Amino acid sequence: VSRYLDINLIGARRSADISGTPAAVATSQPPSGSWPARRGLFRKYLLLFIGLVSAALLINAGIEIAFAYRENQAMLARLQSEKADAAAQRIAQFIGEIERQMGWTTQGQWAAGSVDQRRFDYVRLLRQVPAITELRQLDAGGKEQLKVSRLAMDVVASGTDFSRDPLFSDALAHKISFSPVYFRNESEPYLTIAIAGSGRNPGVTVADVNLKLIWDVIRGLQIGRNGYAYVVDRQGRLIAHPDISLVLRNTSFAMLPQVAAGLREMGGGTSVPLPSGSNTNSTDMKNSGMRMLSAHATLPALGWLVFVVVPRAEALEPLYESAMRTAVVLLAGLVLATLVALFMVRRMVGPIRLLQAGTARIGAGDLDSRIDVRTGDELESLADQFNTMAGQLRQSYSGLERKVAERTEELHESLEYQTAISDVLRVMSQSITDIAPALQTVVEMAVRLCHASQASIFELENGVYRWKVGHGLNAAYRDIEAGTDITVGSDTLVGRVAVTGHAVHIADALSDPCYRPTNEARIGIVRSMLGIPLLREGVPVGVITIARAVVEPFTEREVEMLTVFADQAVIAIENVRLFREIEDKSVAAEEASRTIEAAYRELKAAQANLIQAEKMASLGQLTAGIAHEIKNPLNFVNNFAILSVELLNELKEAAAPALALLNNDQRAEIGEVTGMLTSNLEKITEHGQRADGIVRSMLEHSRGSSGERREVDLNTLIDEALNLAYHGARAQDQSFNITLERDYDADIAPIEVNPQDMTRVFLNIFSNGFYAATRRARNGEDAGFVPTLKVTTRDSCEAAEVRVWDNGTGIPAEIRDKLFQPFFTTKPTGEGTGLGLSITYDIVTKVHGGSIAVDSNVGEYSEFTIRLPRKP
Amino acid sequence: MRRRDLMLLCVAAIGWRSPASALQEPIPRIALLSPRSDAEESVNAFRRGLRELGYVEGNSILLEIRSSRGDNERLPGLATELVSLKSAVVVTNGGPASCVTQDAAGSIPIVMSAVDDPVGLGFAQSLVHPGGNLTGLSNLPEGLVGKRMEMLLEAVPDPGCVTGLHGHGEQAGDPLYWREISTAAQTLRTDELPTAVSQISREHCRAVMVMSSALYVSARVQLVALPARHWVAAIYDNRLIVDAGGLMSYGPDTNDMLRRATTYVDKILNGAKPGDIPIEQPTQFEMAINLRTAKTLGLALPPSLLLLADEVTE
Repeated sequence: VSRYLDINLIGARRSADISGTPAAVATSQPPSGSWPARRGLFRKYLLLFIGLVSAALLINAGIEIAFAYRENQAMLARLQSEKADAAAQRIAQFIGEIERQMGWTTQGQWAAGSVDQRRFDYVRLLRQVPAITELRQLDAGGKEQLKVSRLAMDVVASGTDFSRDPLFSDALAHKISFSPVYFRNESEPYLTIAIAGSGRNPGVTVADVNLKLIWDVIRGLQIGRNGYAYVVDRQGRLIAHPDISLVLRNTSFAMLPQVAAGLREMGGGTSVPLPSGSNTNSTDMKNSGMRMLSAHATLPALGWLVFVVVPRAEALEPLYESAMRTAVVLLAGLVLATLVALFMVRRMVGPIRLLQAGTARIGAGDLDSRIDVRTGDELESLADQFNTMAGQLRQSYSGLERKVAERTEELHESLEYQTAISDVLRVMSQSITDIAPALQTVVEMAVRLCHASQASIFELENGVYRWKVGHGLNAAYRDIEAGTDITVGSDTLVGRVAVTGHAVHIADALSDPCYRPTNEARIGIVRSMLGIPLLREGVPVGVITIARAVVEPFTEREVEMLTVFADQAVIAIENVRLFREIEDKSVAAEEASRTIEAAYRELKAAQANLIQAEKMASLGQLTAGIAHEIKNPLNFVNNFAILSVELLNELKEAAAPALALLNNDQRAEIGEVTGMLTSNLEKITEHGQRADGIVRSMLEHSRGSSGERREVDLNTLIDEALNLAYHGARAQDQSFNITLERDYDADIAPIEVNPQDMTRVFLNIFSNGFYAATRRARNGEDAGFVPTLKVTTRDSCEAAEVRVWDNGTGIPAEIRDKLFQPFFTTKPTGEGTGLGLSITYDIVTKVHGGSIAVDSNVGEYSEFTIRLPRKP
Repeated sequence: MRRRDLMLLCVAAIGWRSPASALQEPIPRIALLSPRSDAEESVNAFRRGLRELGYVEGNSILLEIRSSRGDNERLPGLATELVSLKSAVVVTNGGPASCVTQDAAGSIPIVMSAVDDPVGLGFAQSLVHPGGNLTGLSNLPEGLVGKRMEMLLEAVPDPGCVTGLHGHGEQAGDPLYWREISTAAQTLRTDELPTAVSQISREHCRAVMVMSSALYVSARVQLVALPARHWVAAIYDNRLIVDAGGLMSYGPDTNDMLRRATTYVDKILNGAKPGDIPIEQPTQFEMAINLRTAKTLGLALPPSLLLLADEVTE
């Protein structure tokens, strides 16, 4: 039920939304869950009914069939036994008839009759008993007296001795004797019967009986439709069978279970008068795939067993028929039970379905519907209760509906309010820098939601409140408001709000005793007014007001709402303020970071310079030390070499007279030796001085700047150095040629440098440039290549900059770091000391506090840039 | 279960049965080869046997009957014709018919009747288990020659001499027969009936044994006339000749044999192998006497003989 109520509520709400009439609900579908439930009940009861009736019928039928089966089995056994008895009776009759016919030929006086008479009688016997093939008359001594046959010629008094024949003696002893069954001509079953005569000295009549004639007897027995009888002897050999082939084939049935059982039984030797009663219950046998029932009876005198077999299916036919009948009755019963069950369950489930449909209708909201069940039982009373409940539900429903409408209205309002707030927030987020749109939205929303005619926001600036934005104001009133600075005081709404710091409600501006600007109020058509302070951290920064053109005091709810709008306005104002502050601060921070970054870069450069300088200084000290140590021995070498030359000259002068005494050859030889000595010494001097030069420059390197500084024109200094270098190079190599390009900054201010040192610097760099350009020209560049060296000077206020560019071979990147190290050179041995650029570096960095940088592209150009600061 | 399912089940159950009944086996064809011209009575016996076993001619069985009308020369052609008809079983009457059918039939089962010595003639390995494709009903192996002789002598106590008659070309086929008669009486041979009989008459033989021969049955009218004309008493093996005017006959009932042959046909049609079905020997013999002929010949038959007779024609 609760689920239906839920659905009902939702339905009612929806209907209220759409059409506002609850009647629309009645058309809604019943819940889909109701169908399986109905089916379940119907099926359950139906199955229960059918199941019960079926079970009863089935059990009944089962018991009936079981009993019928047992009775049938018993009857069958009885019937079979009777049939077996009957069959045995017939066989016994057959044999008995032969005996009876033979009987009168065994009498004593008959045997004494004439041969012709006896023969005649025998022929007659043959005529009467077709089964007898041959007859013999034996006298008391066992001698054959007469033989009459159907097949052969008759024999009279052959005298053949049969006295040893067991049949003969047996017949004498027991009056009658039967031979075992034997086969003539392979296939003809025969039985010999010997009957002893009565009276004194009796003879014996012996008859050969063709047992094939029993076939007619066996065939004559009607045993069911497909049943038959057969006879076996005491060895289990077949004597008679409807299928004569089996007999002719001399078949043994001793292996068949029922025959074996029968033979065992007969072996027990119960001498029952002929024929014996059957004493075997039916046993099953399998014959050519068909299950057979068999029974037997014995013929003890002959030692034969007579079997009667009937196919099981045939024997059980009555049972099957009765089972079939039962099944038909059962089926009919089931059908009837099903129909009755269907009818009854329909009768029962029908009202329940009505009830269900009715409740579903009520559940779906159709409270006017009534359940019409007229069964006069519990179901009807249940339906009545449902009807009553529906009526009550209908009553409570109307109240509920009203509440729902109210609640919906509230929800609608709050939704609108939420939308308004979100609108304000949206506008605020869109205009971060400008406050006006946000405040405008606030006043618009305030007018709409508080059902006011107008709204304004005033902001506190320099102790007075000024009108900022408004909505719904007429132009005149807005001009008044915009042109007025409102001070704190209870004579105006804004002032009063500022004074109290709380919401102020003026029910009617015209009747309020303290409210002063009543004229303005009339112009603005305001009567009921409401003001709320805009508080930032408890301090008023402005006021929001709303007003109505009629006297209609604002509700508590509207006050609350306006308070929220006031908060929104404060947030908006605050946002803009904060945003601006942050903006200012971030600009300042950006500047600061730029400054820091520059300082950091300078610091980094200075550090690199310092490291390089330190490295160079230590190398320079090392160099100076070495130079100093070498200089003394070198001085000895040089001085003594010069002295030796002088001494040699003295020796030549002193030895001149002595030489004259010598012959020419000797003289020439001595002259040659002295010449060589002189030249050797000159070479020592020359190279010694070169070494001295190297040492000196090393010492210079370490010594640092010696000369004084003065202000010079850098362009002039460079030009002089350039000329000097060019002519020096021409002096060394006549073929030397290079294009010189000068790009001087004419406005370059005089700079304070050590001119000698700087001249050395430039000479070094220029000569390196010449060397590189020349080498590239000689290294097989094409004819169009013009070796060029370009000098550029530039001035900035802090430093002068000189660039020396050549289109020489360039400097590979891997050796650029080593370039300024002492003794590093790429020139062949003897051409450079490896100190030139090292000294240059020292001079620029240490002496002048400047910097030197290299830029190069191998195979294209090299460029040295020297920066000389004006204030080192 | 839904109603539709139940109906489907019923339809299925009905449909189940129908294919079996729709399947029709071809109707088996049975051929009968008889050497006799008046085959009617024996054929009727055969038909009766089939009816007793539940066969309906033309419906459950087809019958093809050919007769050589006493002319043994025609037998091979007829046998070939019957075999070419694709018969399921060929039933033959008498030794010659069985012999030619065996030659023509190949493996088709043959049910013979009235064959004197099936084992001796090579039709079967043994009576109990024939082994080949021939089985059926034989005459008695030892024959009834002695018994007939006895009867003949009883009828004609002083015959002068007794002679025998046999059909042309049958001598080789029935050696047993000759053995028997040689032990029983003087043996005379002849081929041509009239000359034979006149010769018999010239030799003052007043008794003649006519051996089992289809030829004689076919030609029985002439046959019975000849002895009567020459005042010679004759005993036959077939009752039919006595009916036609012969003096006496003693032998198995050949018509009954043909009737019994249908049980063999039945077994073979039901799948039994002819080689497994034992050959049956006759158990019943019938004796017929024509008193009118006896009277014509001036014979007074003793009561013991008359007692033996199953049928006495007045």
